[in-house]
Amino acid sequence: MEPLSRKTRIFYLTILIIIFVILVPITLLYSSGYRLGDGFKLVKTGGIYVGLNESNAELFLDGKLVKKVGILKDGFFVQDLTPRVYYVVVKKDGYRKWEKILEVLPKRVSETSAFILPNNIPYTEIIPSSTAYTEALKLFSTSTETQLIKSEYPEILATSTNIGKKIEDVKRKGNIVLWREGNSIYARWVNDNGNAPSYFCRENGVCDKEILINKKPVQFFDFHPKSNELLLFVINDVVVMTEIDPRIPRNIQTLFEAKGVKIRTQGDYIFIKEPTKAGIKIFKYKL
Amino acid sequence: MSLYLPDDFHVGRASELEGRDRLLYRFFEILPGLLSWTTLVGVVLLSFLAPKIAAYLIIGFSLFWLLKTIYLSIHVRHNWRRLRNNMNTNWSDKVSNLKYDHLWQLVLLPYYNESFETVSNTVKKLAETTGNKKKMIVVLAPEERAGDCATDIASRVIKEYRDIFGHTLVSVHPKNIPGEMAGKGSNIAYAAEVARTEILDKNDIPYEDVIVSAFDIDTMVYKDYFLCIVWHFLTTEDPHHTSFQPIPLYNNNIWDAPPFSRVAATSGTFWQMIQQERPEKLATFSSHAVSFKALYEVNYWQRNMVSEDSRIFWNLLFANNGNYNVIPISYPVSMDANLAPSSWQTFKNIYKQNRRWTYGAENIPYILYHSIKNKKFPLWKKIHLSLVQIEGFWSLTTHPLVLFSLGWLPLLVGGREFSTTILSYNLPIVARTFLTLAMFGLIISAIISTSLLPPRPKHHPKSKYIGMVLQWVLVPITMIIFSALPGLDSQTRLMFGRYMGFWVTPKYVTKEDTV
Repeated sequence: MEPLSRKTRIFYLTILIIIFVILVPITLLYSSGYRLGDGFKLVKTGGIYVGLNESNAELFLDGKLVKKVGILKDGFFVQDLTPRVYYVVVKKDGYRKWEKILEVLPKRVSETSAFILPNNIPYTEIIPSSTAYTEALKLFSTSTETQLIKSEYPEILATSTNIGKKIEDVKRKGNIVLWREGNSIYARWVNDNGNAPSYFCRENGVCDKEILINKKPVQFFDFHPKSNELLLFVINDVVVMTEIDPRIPRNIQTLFEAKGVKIRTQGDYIFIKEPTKAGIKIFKYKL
Repeated sequence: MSLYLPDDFHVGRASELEGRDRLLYRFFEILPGLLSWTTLVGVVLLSFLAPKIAAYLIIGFSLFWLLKTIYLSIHVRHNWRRLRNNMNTNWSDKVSNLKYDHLWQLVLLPYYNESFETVSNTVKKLAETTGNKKKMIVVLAPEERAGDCATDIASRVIKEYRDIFGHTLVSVHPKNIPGEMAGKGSNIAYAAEVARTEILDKNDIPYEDVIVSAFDIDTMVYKDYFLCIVWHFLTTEDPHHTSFQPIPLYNNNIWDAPPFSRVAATSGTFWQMIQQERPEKLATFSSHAVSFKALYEVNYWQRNMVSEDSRIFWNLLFANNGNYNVIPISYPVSMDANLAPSSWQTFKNIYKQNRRWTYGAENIPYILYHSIKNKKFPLWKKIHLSLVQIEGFWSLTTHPLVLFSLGWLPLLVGGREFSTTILSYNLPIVARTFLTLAMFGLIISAIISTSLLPPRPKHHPKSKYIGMVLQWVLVPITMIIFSALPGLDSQTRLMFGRYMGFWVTPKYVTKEDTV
């Protein structure tokens, strides 16, 4: 039996080179977002990426189901979208919906993070006589972990917009800083522009936007323990979770409601303290 | 045509030369590492500075890799059929029409501190081959630096088999010979010369009638190996300008070796199977056969470098002004896969062995240097061979790293401007699709490797066959750890003039393997 002849090898090689020459431009154009439109014209498309805090959810664009995620994925990526504005909804059975209006630009991906919460949050009450109760109670005697001491925040917020203003309760998680100015809560990106979420960024690529989160007086605010793009607030005795992303609508979900309620976070848990006539109740929930 | 044998014919490294030649050779030593490092650093810089271009290159490169895998799989599959065909051929019948009584088989078996069992097993296999053993000369070549024990092993083995073979000889390679590097090359060169003076000359055996098989001490020949060599020797147009390359299988202990060792070893076999189907790119590797006359003319294997197995081909090619080639015989010899008492030691041994093999990049300066010096060598052939060798060592080192690790760098360092593009999202999707499709080639690998397995020893359960198939998912990892990294390591050493010595792969014999 003879080795592969030179002629045979050249034949295979030629075929594969032809395939390569044909596939390379097609693949590169596809990867960049180009698709064949009407009349075989190349059109530019864009995409949407929605990060998720839950598995087994569904993504709807303009009311149409476009994607489901299973237990392994932590987000939706949809491409081949004509550049325009889309109404994006994330749903899951037994959970509250999350929605956002996003603009899709040619060859770009509009990114956002969705958070969905159960309709009925399964809080666990900590038994008052337990050690866990004593430990949980201690959390409420301290401020939050993300609170910065005063000497740290002039460096972080040293911009012209803040000069002369009274800045309080500065908190930092990752590269996002939250602070209170009067009754308002603001957020800002404080690192280089490279990894900033797009909603912090201006058209010139500089990501220094100060985002107004809330104008009403808040009793408490802090970052979500697992994400620096989500926030926990206590406003008028209501515990809510919201997002920094200012694109409309800003999703706000109620977690708990009780007079004099207070919250703290530790690890992945939120601890809720509810003063009642019978004494102080403490609940916990894994976010 | 006269042979090209200048004074610097056996140059091993730049420091052995003077003046401009030394600078030239040094530059050529730097070249392989420089190319590899430039490529890798280039990919990193491009990922930072122009992530879009980096992404385009990586996607294109992934497609290239898929098509290359298909192309090479065609070679492996054809060679597999040829290998099985040759193993099922009755070579006694095939050579019966040829006159070959005048031919002698000179077998050189160098070793260092290997055990009696290893040496004895190998010689036993020689004794079990077909053909006239009285036309066989077996030379056991222990190293003097291994001490009396190694010599004693040779004496014991020879005593047991001396009546079977035509001639036997123990050639103890002296230690500390000036100008020599301790290693296989210097040992077999010495052994070949001792065999010449002690056996060939004393028995008036013409050099042109002797075929030399230079084996590693763990090389087990299959029964028709020598008849297969004889047939190729006699049917080749110019046997004294030809080397004969079998396929190295690593089957001796494959059932005992851990998965990563099996994958690394069998990947080496597959590479040789590919090369067997494109002989214009084939150089001798490990165990091979060659005419004694040709060897004698170039003063045997080089004694001052590591990769003597491939260098002898380049020696013979340049000495004969390009009129020399390798015939792939598509017949196997079997050697040991790396195996040590512990997995970690095995892991380290594989790395070191692959570093030694990839140090074959030391042939690049030799090829380029003598390509310039030897004006009688056809120009197009010099250019082609040089490019093939340079590309081979460059791709060995850079391709796995670019595909399986650096390729994802634009996603990490490309910045927000890049990370929010469709291209950024599609880079992992498209590249992963191509690489996954390429991984389907592993199914062919699993089928072929399973078919080449020796019978399962009784102390291994049948379920081990499952591991023999599933092991192939380790390929991306073994390509980086046992191919790219040792390749980069050896090229970097060559680049900085930190020349390597010959590292002897330890042979570990399990109780079940002893005769």
